[in-house]
Parts: sequence; C-alpha cells; structure tokens
Amino acid sequence: MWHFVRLSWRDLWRNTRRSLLTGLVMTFAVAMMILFVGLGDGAHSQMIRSATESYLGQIQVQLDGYQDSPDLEHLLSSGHLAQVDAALKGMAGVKAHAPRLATGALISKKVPEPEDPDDLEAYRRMTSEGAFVVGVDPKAEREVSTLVQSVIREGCSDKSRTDCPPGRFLDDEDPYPDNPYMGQMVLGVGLAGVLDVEVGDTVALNTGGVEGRTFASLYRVVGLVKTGSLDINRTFALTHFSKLAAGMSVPGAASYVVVAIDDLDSARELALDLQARLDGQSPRAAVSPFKALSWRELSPELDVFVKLDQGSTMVTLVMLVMIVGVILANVVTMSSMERTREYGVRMAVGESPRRITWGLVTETVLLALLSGAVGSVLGEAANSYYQFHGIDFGMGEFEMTGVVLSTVYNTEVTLYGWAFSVGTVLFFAVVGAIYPAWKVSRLSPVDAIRFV
Amino acid sequence: MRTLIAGSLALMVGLVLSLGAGAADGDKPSKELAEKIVDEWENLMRGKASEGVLEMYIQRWDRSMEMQFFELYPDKSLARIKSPAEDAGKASLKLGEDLWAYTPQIDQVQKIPPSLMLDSWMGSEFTNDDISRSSSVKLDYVVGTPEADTEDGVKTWRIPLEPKPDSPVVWDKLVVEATQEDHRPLRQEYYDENGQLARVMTFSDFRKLSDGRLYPYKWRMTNLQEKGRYTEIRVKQMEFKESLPESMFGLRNLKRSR
Amino acid sequence: MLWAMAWRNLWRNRRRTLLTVAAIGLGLAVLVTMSSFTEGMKVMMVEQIAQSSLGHIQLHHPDYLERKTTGLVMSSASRLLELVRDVQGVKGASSRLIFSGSIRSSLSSTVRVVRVLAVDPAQEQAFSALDDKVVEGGFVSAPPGTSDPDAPARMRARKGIMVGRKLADQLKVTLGSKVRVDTAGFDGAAVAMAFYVTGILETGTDAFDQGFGMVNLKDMQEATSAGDTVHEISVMVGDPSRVAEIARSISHAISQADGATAMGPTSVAPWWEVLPDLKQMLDMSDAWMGVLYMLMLIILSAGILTTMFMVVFERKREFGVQLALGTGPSRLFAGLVLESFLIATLASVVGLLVGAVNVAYIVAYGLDLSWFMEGFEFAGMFVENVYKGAANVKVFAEPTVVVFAGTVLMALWPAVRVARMSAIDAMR
Repeated sequence: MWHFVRLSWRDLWRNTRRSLLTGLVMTFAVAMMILFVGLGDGAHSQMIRSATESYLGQIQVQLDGYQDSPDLEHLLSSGHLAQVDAALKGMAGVKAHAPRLATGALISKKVPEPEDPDDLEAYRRMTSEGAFVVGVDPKAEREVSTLVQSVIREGCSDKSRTDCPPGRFLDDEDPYPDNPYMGQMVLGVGLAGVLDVEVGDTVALNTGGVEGRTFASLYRVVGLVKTGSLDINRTFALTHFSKLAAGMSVPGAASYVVVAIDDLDSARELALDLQARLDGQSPRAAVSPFKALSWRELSPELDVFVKLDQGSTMVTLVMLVMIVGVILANVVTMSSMERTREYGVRMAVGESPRRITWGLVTETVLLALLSGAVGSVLGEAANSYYQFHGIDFGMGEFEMTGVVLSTVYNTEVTLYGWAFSVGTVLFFAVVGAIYPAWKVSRLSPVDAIRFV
Repeated sequence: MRTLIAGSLALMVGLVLSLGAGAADGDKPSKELAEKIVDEWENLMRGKASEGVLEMYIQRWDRSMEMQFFELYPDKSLARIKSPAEDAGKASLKLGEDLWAYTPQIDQVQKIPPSLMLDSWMGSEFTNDDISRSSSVKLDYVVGTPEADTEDGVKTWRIPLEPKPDSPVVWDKLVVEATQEDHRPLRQEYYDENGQLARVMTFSDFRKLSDGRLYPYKWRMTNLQEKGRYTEIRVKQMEFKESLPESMFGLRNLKRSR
Repeated sequence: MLWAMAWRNLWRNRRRTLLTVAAIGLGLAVLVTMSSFTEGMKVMMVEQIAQSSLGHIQLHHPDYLERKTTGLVMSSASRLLELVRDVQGVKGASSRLIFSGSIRSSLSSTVRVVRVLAVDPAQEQAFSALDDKVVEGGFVSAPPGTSDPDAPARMRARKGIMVGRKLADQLKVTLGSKVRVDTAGFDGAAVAMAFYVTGILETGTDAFDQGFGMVNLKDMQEATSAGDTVHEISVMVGDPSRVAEIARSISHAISQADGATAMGPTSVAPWWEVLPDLKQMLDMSDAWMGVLYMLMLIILSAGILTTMFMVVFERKREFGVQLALGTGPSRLFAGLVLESFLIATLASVVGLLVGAVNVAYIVAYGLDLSWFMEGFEFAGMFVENVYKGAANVKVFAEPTVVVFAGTVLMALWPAVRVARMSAIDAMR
C-alpha cells in the first residue's frame, strides 16, 4: 500500500507543470477559505463587541428579579458584590468587571437665581428633564466598556462654537470626598444640549432613594459623551458610583455588575459557568439571589440581529464552497483528462485500468494534502497578519471613515476553519478526479493513446 | 400642597356647618341632598385660607415627617418639612397646575414635570397629583344618590361619585361616607374598574376648632392594592383664616427656612 | 475570418471547451446568486427596521432629533404630509406626535413612564410592522360606542390607547380598562388624559412591550391644544435604494412650496441619520459581503487562469506546427484571445441562465433558514427566517461583466506566452 502511494507520488511529479498548476489552485483555495473563515469570525465578533462594548457589556450579573423590575428594590448589596468578586476571580475568559448603579433622575441646570424670584417665567425656563443617572467606577469602567472613550473633545453641544471648553471623563477618584452634596458628572451630548449645559457648569440632580426618600445633589460637569445611540446621548448622566450609592443611602450597592470577556462567542457558556459559581456561594439558600446574563438575554434584539448575520454568513459560505468546488473539480478533471494519452501508454504496457484509476485518485489526494498544508500555512499567516492590522475598507456614500475588519485568532476557530477548508478542497478534488478516472478505466489503450 | 386635605376638610366643614342649616334635612336619600352637601362644602371653601402643622407617618417605611403647611384657596399651597433633620427645609409649592420643589442642601428649586405627577409624594401613599389637584371633587365627578348605612352603630350616608366622561381620573367610582346626623365625613373610598376597593381614606379624631368647626385631626390613606400599607397624617395645629398673603406662595418664600 | 477559426478551434476539443465553459459559467451563476442574496439581505434588513415604525425617511424640526423637546414641532402638518405624499417615489407617510408621560390604571399602584406615540391609525397601519403584533383588540382603534350616534355622550367621547403586553400586565389592565396618562403639554403645563385600552401588542422587545403606548393623533392634538402640528413624519419609499434621492426631493418640494415659511424649518433625515448605530452595523455587514465577493472572484480568477494555462500548454504542439507553417505570432495571439472571448461569451450565457433560475427561486421563495436558527419565534420585530433575493440589473450585470472581463484577461498571459514560443520548442 505504502509502495503504491510512493509510486503515485512519483507519477505526480512526472508532469511538474501540470501538477504545480493544479496544486496552485488547490493551495489558493485552501488559503482563501481559511482567510474567509477567520475574517468571518472576526467580523462577527467585532460586530458583537462594538454593540456590547458601548454600554451593555457582554455579561451582566444582577439580582434575580432586576431584569423585570430594574429598580432600587433589586440592588446587589456590597455583600453581594463581594461574592461576585470572589466568583469572578481567576475565572478563565473573563477580562474585567465593573459595578454600576443606575436609576432615573430629575436633572436641571444650576443657574443663578432670577432677579425676581417671583418671576415664574424665568423659573419655568429652567427646564428639569428626566434623565438616567449611572454611577460608575472610572478605573474599572475603562476595562469593560468604551464609555470612557466616548467623551468628546468639545465640552459644549453647540456645534457652531469654536471656543468650547475641553471635556474629559470623570476623574478616577471622586474629587469632593468630603462633600456629600457635590460630585462630578459627565453628560450625554443630547442632554447637555437640552439643558444648555457645557463643561464647567453645575447641574442639580434629584433621584429617588430607598424608603421613598429623595436624594438631591449638585454636580460639576467635566465632559460630554457621544455614543452611537441617540437615546443614550439624550438621557445619560454619569457620575461616581460610590458617591451616588452613599447619597442614595445604599452605600456600596450596585444595580448590576458588567463583565467583559475575551471570547464573545462563549458569552452564554461563561454566563452559565458564572451562574454556577455564584450559586455555589450560597449552597444552603433555596434560590440563588444572583442572575448572570449574557448579552443575548440582555438584548434579544441584538441577538436576533447577530443570528441574522450568522445565517447570511452560512449562506455565503455555502456559495463560496460551490465556487471552490466548481473550479477545483474543473481543474482536476481537465488535468486528468490531459493525461489520457499517458494512461493509454501505460495500459498498453500492461498496467491494469484499475491500478491507473486508483493511481489517479491517490495522486489527486496527495496533491490536495500537500496543497492543503501549504495553503494552511499561508492562510493562517494571512489571518495572523490581519488580526493585528485589520483590513480597511473605505465606505461608500454615507461615511467618511473606513470600517476596519480584523480577524480574530482563536484556536477553536482555526481548527474548524482549517479542517473545513482542507476537507472541502479534498472532497472536490476527488470529485473532479472521479469522472476521468471512470472514463479512463473504460478506454481501450488504443483509444486512449489517440485521445485528444 | 395638601389640597386634598383642604378639599376633604372643606367637605367636612361644609357638612358641619350645614348641621345648623339643616341637620335634620328630611334624611331623604336624594341626589339633591348629596349635591347640597357637596355644594355647601364648596361654597364654604371659597375665599378661605388655612395654616398649620402636621405630622405624616408612612407605615411602609416606618418613617415620620413633621411639616408646616399654608393654603390659599383655590389652588395655592406651601408645605415645608421641619423634621427629621436630614429633610428639614425641603419644601413644595403648588401654584395652579404646577408643582415646585426646593432642596436646601443644594439650594435648588426644581419644577416637578407632569410625568411625575402620579408618583408618590415623599414616599407616601399620596401621589403628587393627590396633593396638587384642584380641590373640587365636583370638577371631576358627578354626585349620585346617597344610600343609608350604619357604621359602628352610627347612621351614615354613602354618597357615590362617578367620574365625568371627560375627566382623567383613574378611579371608576368614589364613595364618601358621612354621618347622617352632623354630616361628619368618615371615609372616602376609591374603587377600581372591577368594583374592588383600591384605596380608602379614613377620618378620625374630630376636635372643635377656635371657630367652632369640627375638624378631623387624623387622616389615614390605606392602599389596599398593596397589602394595606398606609400613610397617616396627624394634624398638630390647625387654623382657618380669612386669607393669607399672596407673596407667601411664591418661589422666594419657598426657599426661606422660616 | 479569425472568428470563424477561433470558433472552430474551440470545438476541436469539445470536451475541454465544454468543461471550461461549464466551470466558468457555473462560477458566474454562483456569483449572480450571491449578488442577489446580498442585495436582498441589505434591503431586507433595512425594510425590517423601517417597518418597525422607523420608516425610511423621517421629517422633524431641525433640533428635534438631538433634543427631543416637546416644543420642537412642525406646523401646518397636514399640508406638509400632503406635500410629502406627492413626492415621486414615496409609498406612504404617517405623522406623529411624541410625548413622554406616566401611565397608571385603577387596578394597580404601579406607575410607569412611557413613550406615547400619537398617530393616524389608517396612515400608520399601512406601513407599520406593529400591525402584525397586535394580539388583542385593534390597532389604535376607537373604543366601542364612539361612532354610534345612539350611544351616550360619555361613551362617544372616549379615546383609545394601544399598549404593550408587559405594560398591560404591570398595570393589570385588559381590553376596555381605563388608564390615565400624564404628560407635559407644549408650554410645559401638565396635561392629564384618560384612555381606554383598545389594543394590546406583543413584539418581544421591551421598548414596545413595556415602555410604549399608541393613541390617536387627533385625540392628542385636541387634548394638548397642539393644533395642526406634529413632531415627526415617517416616510416609506417604494424603492429602498433610492432613499437618499427621495429625501432630497422631499426637501426640495418643501422649500418650494407655498407657505413654506408657515410650515417652519423642517429637516429631512434618511434613516441612517436617525439610527447611526444601526447604520454602522449594517455597514460592517456590507463590508464583509464585499470581502467575500472579492474572495470568490479571486478563486474564480485563479481557476480560470489555471484552466487557460492548461489548455494552452496542452496545445503546444499544435501551436508549434502553426508557427512553423508561417502563422505569425500575433495572429496566434489574436486567435487565442478570440477563443477566450468566445468562451467568455458562452460561459456568460450559461452563467446567466443558471443564475437567473436561482435568482428567480430565491426572489420568489427565499432561502428558509428556520431549521438552522433556534428561537426566532419569540424574538419579534426584526425577524424573518426567509431571506429573499433581490433582482435588478446590477445583480446580473455586475458579476457577468467582471467574469467576462476576467476570463479574457486571464487568457492574455498564456496567450502572450504562446506568441513568444519558438516553433521548435513547441513541437518538442
């Protein structure tokens, strides 16, 4: 058997040019497919990442019941948070986590009193708006979302101005530790526009607290954020988590914890894993107080969009395979057909048609394997390169900036991508060899030699 | 501010005053009687003002607050919190349809937007809307025929009130129960659209005021939809006046911590 | 003359020619199908979004999108709507008032802040996907008795509201329940309104199921003394690929209309300005498709090139003979190029035919992926499991032109090699 293989190998190289050409196409096909799969996964991951990184996060840990009633009665206490910390420690695949306290609030700009305090109109013009205040820990937040980077340079929302004060994100630490009624804040650009607030101004916020109390505090605005969500820009106000929690009489308590992970596709598994760890912390409790949710559960709309995208990728993959298949089969068939004369000669000197047939198939397989190997190396190399540099596409009519796609290097993906690519090429190569092989086995040596 | 209080107060005052006018008013359960009661109350409230101190106990959070209040019919009121210390100085002002709130810790006046009108006032079982809405029940409801009943041995009239077609009140029906003898209001019942009792306001601890009126010093609003949690207002001081200065009901006054 | 010879040459080896034509042709068919699919995908995604009440184009007061302040309205709204409707390419338009308010019922102490959309039910229903999601009652229908002249006045004056299922559950309401909505009117003054639940919808997304209520535009205009003003006009177009153009037409029509100043400033925004987030996601998807397309082209080209080379080298002897007989190299070259031309033509025909059949299928029936995707049923809004293809000139023309050109181009290199051959080497 082995001897046969060696012979076939030798036969393969008898016509170097032909084999090289065929092999080249095969190599190319393998490399392209590997690149395709890598890119596909990369684009896919990137889409999820950018959608979840802006605010949502890939996983959230909440108190059970928070998802249905996101209010102050479903907060994670500082004790809960400690448990979450413990569960996340050393968990593979987890990049970072950060707490957030979120609640509705009434916000207004702090202006000097109108001269006539009975001038109701002046007071009416001091708009109070409904807003959503989110207490974050800037250091931790940096690791889990792109909120920090969403801060715009200009500290005012009036686009026509050239003298806007500069804006920045919250300081790492609360700059007013001794004043419970003064804090720092970053506003969404839309909200700042409505309130006519710019960096340097002070705003007043009224939020609910526990026990039906209200908590009011002033904040100095240090920056404005602009995200891709007009809703966020129009309602969000960010401040320091610890201060907000203390002011609302829930020191150290959070609405939920955002968790950032490395591999976006495994969000659901990681969430389940995390849930198990959290449940394990209170084995005697009948029901675990925690709920670890992946972005799929947090945003079913995003989930649907992603699935849509996955589906279309599958379809295009199938089409790619068809093209590869057609080309490969054609190339192999043609190159095999060309050798008919050669087979005729060989049959004339006594080689059995069967042996020739098998020889043909074996040669094809060998060539495919060799090409597969070379193609894999090339494909992986391309993947690795693009993982770091990305592929830049300038967009058409609407956008000025380019969209950058980068591939993601992930062992699992690579394995399946590789296997799939090589497998496909192998399959179609063999298919392409079958017709000639069959034809040849039917020919008489004379006809074969005369074959044109 | 406490126009609900004021409104019910007016109702009661009217009833009390009508004691002399026609206590033994035939005791016929007629719509005219009911209308008369309500009318008398409304007539009485015209051009009146009041001020006082009250304590509000919120059973849900086991929390008490002491407040000073001023009221000028028909639609101006001011309430200022005196205790506990962390809430002292907070004040609310109702001017017409608008509700304003002042927070001394940050020295800021904020207008409460209409979308928060249905929110609970200070965490109690009263809503912002209860507190700020116009005093007249007749504005939103049609008075029906009273029904005779007994409560703790006392003969009472139960007067049904049905919402007018256009009125945006959420209740399907109100029932006011007053004594037959002196038309003292005992309770105000709020019914949901399935006919279930959703909230009930009970009045008790009636005392004579300096001008002879019989006034309830205890009001309790019970929320039956939420396991009967309640808020109780206990009046500590109460005085009716001919009028109060308009300037008192301004934003400037809102901020003073007098 | 040269053509005839080229043609004859082709058919001298029928098998080979057929194989080549088949390969290229099928490759083209796949590209055409792929093209149709991706076009269809793009259109479909935008359509889904547009129908979920976003529309293809939206008109607002210029500052409205950023600030969403109640006072930023467009006046002479009915005239504006008429104008918009008359623009060529516009399929439908619906005007809306949008408020934020709180809602409660007598049956529960829960108070919720919701977005209230006031629409003309007939206009809105015509293009909103929400219409399919109504599970109880009707789409912002009037409460029973409102059009009955014999019904008591109080019933005739009733206003209807449609809410999401989750909200209905939280408020503990059912069809016919009364709810109260408080919101701020245009001058900031409080407006309280009573509505009767006449419709319940279920979409699977919280934005609609929990934080949303829909009422009749006229009712709202009346209650808030809004007069003939609206916050938003949502426009659906017939051909989604012409959105930018139609948006411009609308702008133009407005600026040229009589009484343009009376209508106040209006900004016409295509959907991507309203949802930049989504636009980015779609762009990424698009870029991705582009990459794929290119990859396919590359492979196809590689295949064609290889085939051409093989063909050429197989006929080396024949070329040698011809050269020896005196045929000029340039003639040989031309002949080969012509052959490739013919192959390209044949392949294009094959490709277009097969492609057309595929496209016809996916346009009519679409590709059903529901067996592959789990859990699509509950997801509501944006879901269609069936991907329909798009059929337009571009879908067919683009791949054909590219493949045709590619085939001829790919043949040039081997053809050049042949022209450079020496007769003797060739014959060896």
